[in-house]
Amino acid sequence: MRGSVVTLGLVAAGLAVGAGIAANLSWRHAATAPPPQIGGYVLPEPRSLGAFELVDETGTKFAPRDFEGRWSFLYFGYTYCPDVCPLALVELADVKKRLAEHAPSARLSFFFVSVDPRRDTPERLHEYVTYFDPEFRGLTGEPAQIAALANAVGAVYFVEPGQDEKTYLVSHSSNIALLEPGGGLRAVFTSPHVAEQLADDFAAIFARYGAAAR
Amino acid sequence: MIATNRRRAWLGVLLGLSAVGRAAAGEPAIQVLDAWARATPPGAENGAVYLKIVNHGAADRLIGARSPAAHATELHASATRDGVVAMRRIDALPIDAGAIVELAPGGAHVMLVGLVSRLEAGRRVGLTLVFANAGELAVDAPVVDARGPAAAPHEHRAP
Repeated sequence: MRGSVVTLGLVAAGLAVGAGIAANLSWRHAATAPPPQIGGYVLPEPRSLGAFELVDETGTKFAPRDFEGRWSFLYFGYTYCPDVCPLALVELADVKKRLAEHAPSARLSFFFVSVDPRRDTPERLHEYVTYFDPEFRGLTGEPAQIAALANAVGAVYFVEPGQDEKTYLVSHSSNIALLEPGGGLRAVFTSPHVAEQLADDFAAIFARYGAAAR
Repeated sequence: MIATNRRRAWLGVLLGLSAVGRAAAGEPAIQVLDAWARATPPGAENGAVYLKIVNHGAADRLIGARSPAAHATELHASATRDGVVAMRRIDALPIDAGAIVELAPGGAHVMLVGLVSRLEAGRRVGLTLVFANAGELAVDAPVVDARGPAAAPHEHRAP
């Protein structure tokens, strides 16, 4: 939890420093436009995710390099979540449809990353995510490995103490992380998530960074 | 957006007026409208029911719910604070006098914990709501596939 707050702080500090540098250098780089304004924040430079090893919805090992070659949307949730997770996945399925039309050249993947690996097996994840879109992917794995990916993209989650060990709930951040095709974090979309805005925001990011990232 | 809100406000006024009429006619103080259950993906253990509670009478509280569709039925509220969604079990939901309280996606809902079987569109979920003053109220909620934007007419996005 604290690590993630620190991480977010670093991101904020980084953005502030970046903005300061951009302002100071603007007279020299008048042609350099600032990152696009989105419902969330765009990192001036993609940030590496570091190391982790997860398992995808087919039970296959999944490493950071498996994010490469396409833009990836990451949402952190769990299959026992009956309200906000379906809501977010419905929006993401809509985003996928919209972008297939408006940004057909962008190669996209959508991942539901489990914050509840104890109950979310690859089989359960597969059933759950493909209900929302047949191409949606799931990631789960050892708690420490999930934490590594979550920390890298500023996602937080925790189980409030004192709950039943079968029916416990998990609190989790509702942000959606966007990875660029190099596999680094490029943007974070903050809630509320509305498909139309997410698609517009992605289109703006893709227009700005897509050519360099491809 | 403003137009929509204004229309919604007018709707509230109209509902409020008709509520007064109904209360005077001796109809039940609590009315439940637009109940629906979200269809669940295969493998999902839990479900959610959404509805609107119209209170024509004095202040009351929703203090529980039962359903044969699940092993346990609880009142829950999702709240987003600092970007973190926390879904918590709540003991009671206040229903102020004359109020319309909406249990909607991303907010409060009746959670079906441990579904007996998957909620598939077309099915119906029987539900008994328990109020502190009004007593018990039976609700019959259709299961709605809320995947498409047009699929859930009563669904409103979280603020």
